Amino acid sequence: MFSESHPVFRSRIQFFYVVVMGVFLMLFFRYWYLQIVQGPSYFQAATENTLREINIPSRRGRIYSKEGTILADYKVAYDIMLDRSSFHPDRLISIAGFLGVSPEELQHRIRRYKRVPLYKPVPVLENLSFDEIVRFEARKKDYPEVFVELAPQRFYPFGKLFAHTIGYIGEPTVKEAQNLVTLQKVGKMGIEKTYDSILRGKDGTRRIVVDSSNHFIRTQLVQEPIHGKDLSVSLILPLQKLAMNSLGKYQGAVVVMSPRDGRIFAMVSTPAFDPNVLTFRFREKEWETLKTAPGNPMLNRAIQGAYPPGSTFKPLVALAGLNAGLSPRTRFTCTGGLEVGGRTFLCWKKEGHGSLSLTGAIAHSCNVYFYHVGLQIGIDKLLPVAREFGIGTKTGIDIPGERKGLLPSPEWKRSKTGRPWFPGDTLNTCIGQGYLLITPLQAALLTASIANDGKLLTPHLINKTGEKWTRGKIDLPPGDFKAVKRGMRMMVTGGTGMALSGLGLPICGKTGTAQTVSGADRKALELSWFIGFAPVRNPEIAIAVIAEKGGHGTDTAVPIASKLFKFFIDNGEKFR
Amino acid sequence: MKGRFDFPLFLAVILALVLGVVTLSSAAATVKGGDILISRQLIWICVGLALGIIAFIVNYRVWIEFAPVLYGIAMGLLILVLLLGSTVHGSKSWLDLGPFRLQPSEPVKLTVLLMLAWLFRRDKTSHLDFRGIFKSAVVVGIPVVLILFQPDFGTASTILVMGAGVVFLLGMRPRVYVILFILIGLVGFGSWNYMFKPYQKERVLTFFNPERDPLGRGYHVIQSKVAVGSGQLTGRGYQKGTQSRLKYLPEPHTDFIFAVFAEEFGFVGIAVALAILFLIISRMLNIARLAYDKPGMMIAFGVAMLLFYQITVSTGMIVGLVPTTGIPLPFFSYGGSGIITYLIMTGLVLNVFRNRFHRI
Repeated sequence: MFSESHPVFRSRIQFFYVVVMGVFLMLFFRYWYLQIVQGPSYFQAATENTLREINIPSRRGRIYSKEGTILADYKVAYDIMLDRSSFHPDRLISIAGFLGVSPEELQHRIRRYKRVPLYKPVPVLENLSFDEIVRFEARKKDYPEVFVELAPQRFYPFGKLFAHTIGYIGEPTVKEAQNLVTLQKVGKMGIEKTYDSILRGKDGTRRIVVDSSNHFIRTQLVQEPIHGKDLSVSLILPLQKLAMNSLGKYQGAVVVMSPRDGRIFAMVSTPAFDPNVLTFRFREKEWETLKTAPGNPMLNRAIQGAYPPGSTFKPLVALAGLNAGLSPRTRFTCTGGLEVGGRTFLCWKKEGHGSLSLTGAIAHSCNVYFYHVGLQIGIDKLLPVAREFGIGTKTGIDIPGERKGLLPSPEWKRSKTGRPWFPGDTLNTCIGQGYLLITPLQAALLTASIANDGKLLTPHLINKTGEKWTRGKIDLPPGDFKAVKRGMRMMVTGGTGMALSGLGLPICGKTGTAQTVSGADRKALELSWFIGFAPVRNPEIAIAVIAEKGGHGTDTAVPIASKLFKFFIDNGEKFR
Repeated sequence: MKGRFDFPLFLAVILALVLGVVTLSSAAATVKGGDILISRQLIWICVGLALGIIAFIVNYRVWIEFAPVLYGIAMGLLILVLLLGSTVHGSKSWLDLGPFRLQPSEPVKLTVLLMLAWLFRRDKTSHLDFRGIFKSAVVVGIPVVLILFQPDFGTASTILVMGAGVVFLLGMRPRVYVILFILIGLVGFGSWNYMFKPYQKERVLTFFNPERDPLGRGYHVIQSKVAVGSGQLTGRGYQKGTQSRLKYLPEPHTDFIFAVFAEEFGFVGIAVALAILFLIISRMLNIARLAYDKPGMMIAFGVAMLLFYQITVSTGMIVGLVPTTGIPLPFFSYGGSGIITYLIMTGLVLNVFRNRFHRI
């Protein structure tokens, strides 16, 4: 044997043996001490005391309008929580009766949280007032499974007015919940969604010790809540109100933005919905009604509605024409229509406009003039310029859900319909009809880009300016912009938009009347459009207005725009 | 020729396995998919027993001859796990092999021990020279560093302590002890004062004194002490422990399994379990004493050292004697890679006992 002949190794093994024995004795006495000497008190602790983790809710940041009014607030409210680890299904009916909901409903609410670990209490009743809580507290001894938790409730004081821009918050989806520690609500739409990580705080935790009859014994702060940060948006409350009221019964959208820095001063889409309803957890029915409501109030028409732009597209076609070699003095004669490929394409004025220059054609919105432009330059010269102005691409606004519209090209038509591009398609595109679709926000951005001589901006709702929101410059000579602006100015002073001439503000504008078919009944419907900016020199606002079924541009959209411009004249300082 | 088989050791291991499975079947009931854990653990015990028998039959000197190859494969697996491993609880320690998830750091423990035995298989001295110390430091250091990268503090410390134990057995001159002592002191002092950032210091301090952080790590110790204490003399009975039922214990099927055992079987159960575990270690030390040659002695001693360390930390942690680290309790905790490794180790130690009289 090795260690017999080498005693030094045997002594090392023996030394270690003594160490092992010592440690085991220590362990033995430690367990004896805990289980026998201190056992009864630990037993007491385990049976009588239960620890419960409660949430200290963090406050979600407030959202302010440009002038400092609170648009999204929180108010004190209470939730009733259920501790499922001590809940027995036999008690369902009794607890449901106590809470005033049907047993099926309570069961349904508990089931919602089957993925949440059992030791975390879950809400079964929400948004209770203090009075309701007092009634509850008086009888809570009989219902140890439920308790009250403070839960600040999101509150939108202006309801529908900011539904599409500010958005709303709600319960996280399974995927969203993976990034959350607690059962917090998260932004679901609009600013609330985009800036969720800034607005949302981090809930804190408190451990409370209660005895078997739900009496509070002591409390222990684990983690202080971290509150969310406040945000400011560039929306101007009275302007937003005015835009909403002016649209009135019409379905449509209004966008007012700054052609200097891309900030959005007003964005309205009608019909709208009340975001206060959607922040509740247990209102699935309201949800369903809203989703199928007439006019689709959940749709933000300003960024999700894609419409043919009609004549509001003509300034851009004019720019493309100038870029392709036409001159502002190029004249074409309108006789009320133009025959191309065996088909007659009409102007809206049956008797014709006679001979027109570019300025006059914009001012009087002559279709035939722009048919000629289209035939001269061709679709290939039009598309690159349209793309530069962001037609057919998302503007990159800082709220989710934006649609990119449609800028049709010969390749697109072939792959989509299998048919070639006809000259007629070019003509239709040139007067903003055919396959072409743009969103009201794209229309506003196009207007802003003309107003500021080709500076490309990213429209945004957050009240910030700077490099981050500037994308570059459209490479067209200043003279071209000048010519187009002259036409848009003339439209106001002596063309289709003369209603705007008496305001005492040098406005440039373009009306539009677009035809589209909508809905299941395929009914033709007229879209009343207006785009415009002011003042001519150093423009401060750019506007896009659309009213569905609004008749001609001059009938509905121009009066709305007129009110907005009036507001600008009276409250210019609010825009700076 | 008397006694080719150390029956007491074998019996003690089997008893420990039985207690382990019983506790696990109770603890697993609180974990999602617990019933699957039990059947898997039983399969792994069977696999471990089969491999243990092979380890027992083939002479341990043959195994030692293969040590460099096994060591190389093991290091390869450790690198592979860093590249392709799946992450559980923040550590990249597992390799997905379809139905089975291998934790390479477990078998690594055995290959390090075999490698040390291979290094000094012909060594005749009673003290290691500097070269010998350096070689052992490299053999132990490589896997320790690789495992720290996962990062898995518990397993890394296990291998380090086992290696240190074997080096202690092989012996060092008194002046080497003094030099090492000073060196460790200097490095510790230097890094504490000049390298550690405040939050790292805080973490180390909390490691040694959980009460500093009564709401994080400390909270679990408080809860496991309540679990152990409330077991009292005879325990609350099988599957009746409230602490583990109500999920106050984290990882009731691995790191905190002994707390479940203590709560349900009381001090009587603890006394029996500690006696069985002590019996296993003392029998292994006895085999180290009886071994025919140096490598045999090293294997038996190393396994004893390893089990001793894991048992001490895992049973000491839940009663607040030892800082909290995630170290599983051998033969009790859930985990295939572990249980198979410990059973192969047991087979090898029994093998050393069987061949304690002569060479083949």
